[in-house]
Amino acid sequence: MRDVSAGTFEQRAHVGLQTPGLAAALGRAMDHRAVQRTQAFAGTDEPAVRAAGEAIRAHTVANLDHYLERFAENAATRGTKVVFATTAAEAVEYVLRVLRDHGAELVVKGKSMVSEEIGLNPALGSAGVEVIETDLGEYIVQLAGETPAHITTPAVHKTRGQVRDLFNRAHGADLSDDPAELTRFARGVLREKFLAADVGITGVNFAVAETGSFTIVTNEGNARMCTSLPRVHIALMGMERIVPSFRELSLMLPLLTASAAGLGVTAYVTFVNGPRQPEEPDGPEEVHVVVLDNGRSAILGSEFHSVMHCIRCGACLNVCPVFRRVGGHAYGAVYCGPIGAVLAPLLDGFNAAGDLPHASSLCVACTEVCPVNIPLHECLLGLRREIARSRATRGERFAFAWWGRLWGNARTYRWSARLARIGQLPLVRRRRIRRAPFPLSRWTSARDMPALARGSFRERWKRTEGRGP
Amino acid sequence: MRSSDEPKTVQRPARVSLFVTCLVDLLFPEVGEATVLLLRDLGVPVDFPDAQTCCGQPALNSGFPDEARRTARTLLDAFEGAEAVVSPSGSCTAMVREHFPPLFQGTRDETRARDLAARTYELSEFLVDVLGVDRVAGSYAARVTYHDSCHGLRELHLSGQGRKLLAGIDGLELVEMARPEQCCGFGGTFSVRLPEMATAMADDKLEQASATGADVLVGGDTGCLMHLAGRASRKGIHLRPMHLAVLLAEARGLMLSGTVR
Amino acid sequence: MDRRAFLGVVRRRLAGVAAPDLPSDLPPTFATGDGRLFDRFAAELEIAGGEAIHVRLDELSARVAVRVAGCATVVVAPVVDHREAVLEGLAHAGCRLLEPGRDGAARADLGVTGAVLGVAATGSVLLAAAQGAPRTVGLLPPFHLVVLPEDRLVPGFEELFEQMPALAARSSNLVLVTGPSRTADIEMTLVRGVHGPGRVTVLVVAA
Repeated sequence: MRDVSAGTFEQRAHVGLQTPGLAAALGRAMDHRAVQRTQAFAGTDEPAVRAAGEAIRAHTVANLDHYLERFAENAATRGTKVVFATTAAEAVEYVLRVLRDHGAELVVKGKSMVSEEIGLNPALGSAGVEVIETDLGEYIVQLAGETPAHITTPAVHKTRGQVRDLFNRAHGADLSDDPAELTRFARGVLREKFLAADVGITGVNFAVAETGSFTIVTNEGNARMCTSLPRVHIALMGMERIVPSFRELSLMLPLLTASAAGLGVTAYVTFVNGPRQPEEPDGPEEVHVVVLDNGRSAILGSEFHSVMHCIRCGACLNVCPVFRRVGGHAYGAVYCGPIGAVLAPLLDGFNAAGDLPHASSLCVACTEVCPVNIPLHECLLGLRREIARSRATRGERFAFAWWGRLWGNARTYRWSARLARIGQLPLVRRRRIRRAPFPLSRWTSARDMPALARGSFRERWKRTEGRGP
Repeated sequence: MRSSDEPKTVQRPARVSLFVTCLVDLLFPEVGEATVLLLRDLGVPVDFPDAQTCCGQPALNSGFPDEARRTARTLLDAFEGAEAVVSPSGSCTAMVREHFPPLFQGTRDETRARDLAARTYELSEFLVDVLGVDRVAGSYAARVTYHDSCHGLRELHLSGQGRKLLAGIDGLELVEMARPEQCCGFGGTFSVRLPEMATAMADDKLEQASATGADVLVGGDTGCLMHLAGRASRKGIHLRPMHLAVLLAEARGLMLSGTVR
Repeated sequence: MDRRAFLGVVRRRLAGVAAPDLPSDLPPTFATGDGRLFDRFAAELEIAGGEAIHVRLDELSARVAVRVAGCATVVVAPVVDHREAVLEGLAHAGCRLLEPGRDGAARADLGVTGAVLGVAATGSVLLAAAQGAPRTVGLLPPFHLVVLPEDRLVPGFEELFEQMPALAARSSNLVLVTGPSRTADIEMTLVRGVHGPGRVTVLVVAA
């Protein structure tokens, strides 16, 4: 069970809004991504590709039990150990058990949002195991003592100067802020860890039911390292991250990488089919896959079922105007951006994440770009309804109940407008309102408001009605 | 006065009913007036069924669908029997077209809601796609930049009708800002739930607009324009947010400075 | 942890969820073949930051010698197509052979492997863990040289994934490699050579 981040979205967003350089860094990254994404889909029928992706995901998730069972059976024939963890605690417990069984002291990790979800790193730390994040962005975030700020680019919020300072402080080095030099340095540091590690832990992009295989995509090569050098490989998998067969991967992989806005396919697509076979000269002796529920099953068959189609590409983050301003930390949850605003309330509960569906202007950019056509903005609206039912303040309920009554017919609507026109008089200066009491103060603190017009449209219409055709 | 090209007839309705929206009715009535003037100028009779109050979007967006239905029903009543409904708001039109059917599903108004959704148009799409207006003859000397309001763009799939209408106006220079499709931060209730965020988003949009050197920021939704105008005014930014309908009406000489001539 | 209980929960939640069929035809993506083989392979690999060179068998050793100039030490996978010619080229260039195990690969300037196949649409090569194909040879050294017979180029992902079930049955690990290792994690600045090789050259040997 992960710690609930302190405060509200508004408070955390305030920190982000006041962080110099953050919006610029995010904006630069997102504009770059937008260009890459357009190029990646160029020359193809994007709606058709996305429709096929949607159909594949819908079919697979609707038959999830069947495909998970096939995956586990086929993986077992290859020697892979597949376990099903209903809760985060079960998943952590299993990983710790495997580590204990092997006397593991050093773990190298590829990027895994599931590992964040279950709070794996702190648990390993408490058990005296050294855990090193090997994805460069994750490594940076780990050194900074932070959580990822983006689903696919965890350190998107950091400047080169900040990375330089982190590396210099952590390693007593004297590096410049040149990204190539910093990367070379990280390569050297992490190479030692890869070679010495007892266990490699990665995520899973897609499991393949047909053969009990699974794929991991990276550009850096850290998944190759984690799945090849240590004696033991543990893969953590959200239970919905599966395709029926390799055939579906021929579409889902390009769809994933195009939407995550890489150029073409990632540098590496690793296919793990099992532990090393007897005649192979290297590779892990053991491969474990932990399939995690952790609240996902409750989403199946619900109004929000389609969110289980998500392939964690991050495309919605890359177009969100709110994310653009404040980045992932403002969401205070493992999953951030638009997908996070839907997933976090569903997985972590309304107490922890109930304000996230309102952290959106409902601009629909996320739905517009989702490669599997999840109607994210409709999910946000539906969640707002569910959240209002259980958590709306009495003031809000009262306000909307009365608004519904007064504006439920034109006569009381007109009267309420007339009253408001009188009521506003003390506030109006030169047809504008610059200061107003709560709740209007939430507008006027930073913006002027127009005064209610002297004659409403309907009053003017009534006056000139005789004029029309 | 007519456009210089006769509009190509595409199922042109005999009469149009105006869905004015509560924001326009109470705060920006000139936008409603401009809408009526433009339609009549094109030879389309317009009426205004005054039983309408509000589409209910603020309540729906806050998670109160029951309350949303109460006001939304006034539209179902007002527009019963209307041949075509036109609104100078992408956001309110999208509420009717996209959200009324699910909102009223399972109620006795289910059919009425679907019927109304099928007959409701945003102003620029009505002018271009239904009336077939190719070009608006008129003059308005200004450098103008366009803001694509989100719901019109992404729920109604508006695709440049507004810019098309501006293209033929003498003296009007249209320059694009860096990201015209990016949300301005109004988002209805969002603008008061997360005011600091909404304001930051407005600043981003105003910065982009100012960078074009434009005098006028044109859009199809008064919510966005009110939000941007309010911020511009507070910061002393010399940029005039204007509704497309008002600009077109002024360009055609039907209005002067937002007042009916 | 009980599998039956876990899947039982999933099954119950899915009762009543409509299951569309899998699409029978998949639309083209950027990874779909267009019939071209070497030309497309070379162009795509170049975009990804690698290089592909078309080589006749009789010039293979000479080409190898040129390409590996400057590499003092090398590990060569035991199973490499045209191994003799490759070793000849390495000898000409003065490369010292190290044992193709983890230690050798960790120290070597260069790793030479074969590949199961190449994918023209993306400029990728598929490496398979197998007897005589240690994973470390194409992973640890900073420069990765691949020898690929031209007749093992396939047009795109459709053809690649048709072969995958059979390939997966024979090997515990497959990697689709497309150019050098890279990252843009620091200020979106592209840097090559992170954990995997920073330089990838594929010698495509004419049939």
